[in-house]
Amino acid sequence: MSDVLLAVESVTVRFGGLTAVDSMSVVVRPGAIYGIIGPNGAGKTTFFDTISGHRRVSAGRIEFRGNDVTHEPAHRRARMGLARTFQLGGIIPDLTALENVILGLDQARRSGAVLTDRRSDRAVALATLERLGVGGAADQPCVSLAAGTRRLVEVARTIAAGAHLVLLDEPGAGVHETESRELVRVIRALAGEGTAFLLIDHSMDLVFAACEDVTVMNLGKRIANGPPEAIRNDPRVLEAYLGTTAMRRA
Amino acid sequence: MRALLTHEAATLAAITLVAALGPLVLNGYYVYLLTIVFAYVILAAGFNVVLGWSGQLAFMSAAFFGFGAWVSGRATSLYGVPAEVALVLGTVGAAVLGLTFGALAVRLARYYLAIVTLTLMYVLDYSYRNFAELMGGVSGFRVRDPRFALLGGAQATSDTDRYYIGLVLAILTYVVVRWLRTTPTARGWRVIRRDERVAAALGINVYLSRLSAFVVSSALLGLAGAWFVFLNTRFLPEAFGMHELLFDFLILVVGGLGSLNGAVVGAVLLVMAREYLRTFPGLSEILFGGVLLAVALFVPAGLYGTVAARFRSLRERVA
Repeated sequence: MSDVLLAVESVTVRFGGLTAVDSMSVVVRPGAIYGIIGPNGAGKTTFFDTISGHRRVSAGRIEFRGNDVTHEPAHRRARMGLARTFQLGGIIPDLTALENVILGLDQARRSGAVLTDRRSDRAVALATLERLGVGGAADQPCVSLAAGTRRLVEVARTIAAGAHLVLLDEPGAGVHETESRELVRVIRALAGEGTAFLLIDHSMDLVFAACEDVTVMNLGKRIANGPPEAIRNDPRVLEAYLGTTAMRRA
Repeated sequence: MRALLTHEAATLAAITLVAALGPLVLNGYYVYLLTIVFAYVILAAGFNVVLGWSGQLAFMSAAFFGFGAWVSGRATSLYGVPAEVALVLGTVGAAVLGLTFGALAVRLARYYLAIVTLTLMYVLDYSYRNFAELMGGVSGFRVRDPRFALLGGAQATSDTDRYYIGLVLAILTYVVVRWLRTTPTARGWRVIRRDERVAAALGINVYLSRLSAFVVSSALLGLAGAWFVFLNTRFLPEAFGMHELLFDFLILVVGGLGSLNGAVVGAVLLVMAREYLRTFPGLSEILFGGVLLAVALFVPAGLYGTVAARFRSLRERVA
């Protein structure tokens, strides 16, 4: 059981009569890269918000690092090592890339991590940016950075925070293809060092390229689960998801 | 970074030195005027924390400025406490009011917070006027020149004395607020201003972050008032109402909301302008309204931010 980082059991979210998330379960292990895909409106972001604590569940249970966090507020989960990025970007645009990563070091301290002296914060933050290949952006205000770079800065912040699990909310949104490949490379490298990732995206390319395990959501429910190769050829997925995309392309 | 720090320290030292020479070269009127400016530097630096940094629409300046003035004025006039003690009491009193009121108020967002903080201002105003025995009444109460224990019990009666005491208080406030900006707490304020969801994801307790900004502002506004009341002969309830609030708001907007240096520049410019406009009754309201509109339309970053940016790009071009 110690092998399980995040265990989501039958989480349901209802808005009045509408069930946005219907009994979803997910298990993420340390160092795993887990993907959730689904067409727009499938309930992915709502489901994500219940994991990070930004939305209450109507039913179900969420366990993180062996603790029941179902009713813990978002900031407490963040202090336990659960970090996330945001679809529209969680970077503070008027701060520099470096200052944004320092916010991650602040988070690590709030989590009770014993870090080096504050005076070395800038050096530590710069090293983190360099590890992700965006050291050159350090002193630029984030508002002037490309979308892909901004996304990497946001990931750097979660790494600086010492996160055990990083939730990536639509990391591919608005990101150039080469930047997207770079993002996949970085995620794989970081997962190799033990950080787990859970990402959602409606574009399958990034999820299929990065993830070992994929769950497909539609209308709030899980319709398929397995490795990318299996998902790609699953008739239910083709029907519910790829079908609609294919039709739109045609 | 180190070079930047020393550059800033050098600028501050130079400004301090020039300001310290003020009473030697300026005539009495300007010395008096600058003592008022110093009080408003404290006020603006304090108000900027909640409004500019944490981004909360807390229209609280006049209420807490007035409350600090009331506590300090009452403490010296009724109980004869030394001036230093009165300044501490005004600061702590305002902070305690800020903590108890803010604990409820900061749960409200945007316009609701604005309305609730305005209500506090009117409730305080009502209390000053209607509970005369305790609070002072409609015409307020006389504030005698307090004795300074640190100056061997001397009274700071001359404008020059007050100038130097005010200067020290303003510089202390500036340095403390400047230091505050480098703390994780202040970085948290900048995050909640942008996006509270992101703040929570960074482990920031949004409620406590909002509250801490509110209390820090309360305390500094209280200090400003506690000192300001000594520059006047009376505590007057009407001095701490809507007029004062709009003036304070204008200081921050003109200087540049969210910028500490902008707050200082705004305080200097607007206190001077207000004094100059006193000779034309009624004109200041119209003019200040026009200035607010013009700044919002043409220099939304405020005068300080805009001029500083121009200066930076000029320097880069030269270099």
